[in-house]
Amino acid sequence: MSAPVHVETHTEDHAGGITYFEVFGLLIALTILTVTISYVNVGEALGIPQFGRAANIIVGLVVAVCKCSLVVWVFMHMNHETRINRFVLGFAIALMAIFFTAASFDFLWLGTYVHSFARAALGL
Amino acid sequence: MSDASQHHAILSPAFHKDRRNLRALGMWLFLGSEVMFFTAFFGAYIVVRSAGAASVAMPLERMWGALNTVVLITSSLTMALAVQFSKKGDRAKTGRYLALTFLLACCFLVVKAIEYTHHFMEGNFPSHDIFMGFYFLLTGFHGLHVLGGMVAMGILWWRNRRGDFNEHYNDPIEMAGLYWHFVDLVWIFLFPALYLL
Repeated sequence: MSAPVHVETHTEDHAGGITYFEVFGLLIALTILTVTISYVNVGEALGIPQFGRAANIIVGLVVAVCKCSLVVWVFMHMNHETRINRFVLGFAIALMAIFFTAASFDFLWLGTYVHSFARAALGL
Repeated sequence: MSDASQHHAILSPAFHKDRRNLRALGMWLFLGSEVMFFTAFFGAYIVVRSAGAASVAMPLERMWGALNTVVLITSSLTMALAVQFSKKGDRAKTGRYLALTFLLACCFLVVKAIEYTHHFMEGNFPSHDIFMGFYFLLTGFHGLHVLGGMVAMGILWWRNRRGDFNEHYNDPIEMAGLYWHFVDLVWIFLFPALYLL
């Protein structure tokens, strides 16, 4: 059972050649990593204490995005998928990104140059 | 050879490929709508957490969450293997891995039930505070998706046993696989968002 099991949606290719078991190992490793990091104040550890918890959030989300990409790319066979199917997924992700960005305007840009610029442009 | 596999064997490989791709398109559109569904709740959670609820006490036991993450990742692996064996026409192994995926989904819900029981015994109901409200909303809808996946897994296990699938035709198993990996993906984001950050 431990023989390498290649990703085979279409018999003609298995690009990358990463096996399901390798992906599984990486996902477990990333889970252990993200739990371990959650016990550390990343901002202080990196010498940027003013970031504090925000640094933890960024690191936590980056790890989650990595895990997500592995699942989508290998388990969900996005590496072999047709163009239209890739487009549908890409569009859903783009809409999600637009939603999150638009929903976080009031706090994300507060106190930054973007906010000052917007105020100046509006004559406030 | 059953009637179904004789029927599928006489059709051309191009036909099988086209049919599979169209079904996958339907599944990806459905998953796109699912992404939007969770985006709405997740977006609301982000806004609430960012807009001053930073002092929210995280009452969750992160080890339960980590355990469930491992359970769901493992179930994604067994599902991927079930799809792979169904493509090879290995009915026995397909059935075994579908059953394993079902059992792991069961484990996930048992752990979730233990957590919920703890919350309720401590008086942490959805109305306790804004965090618990979002916690029950997000994990509740995710849990319903796990339950839905288990129903699909059960039906597919039975159909696989009946001999509905073979190396030419295994679309339902592959599409259920896509759905199952999506359920795993949602948890991959819920776990850090609710338990760690």
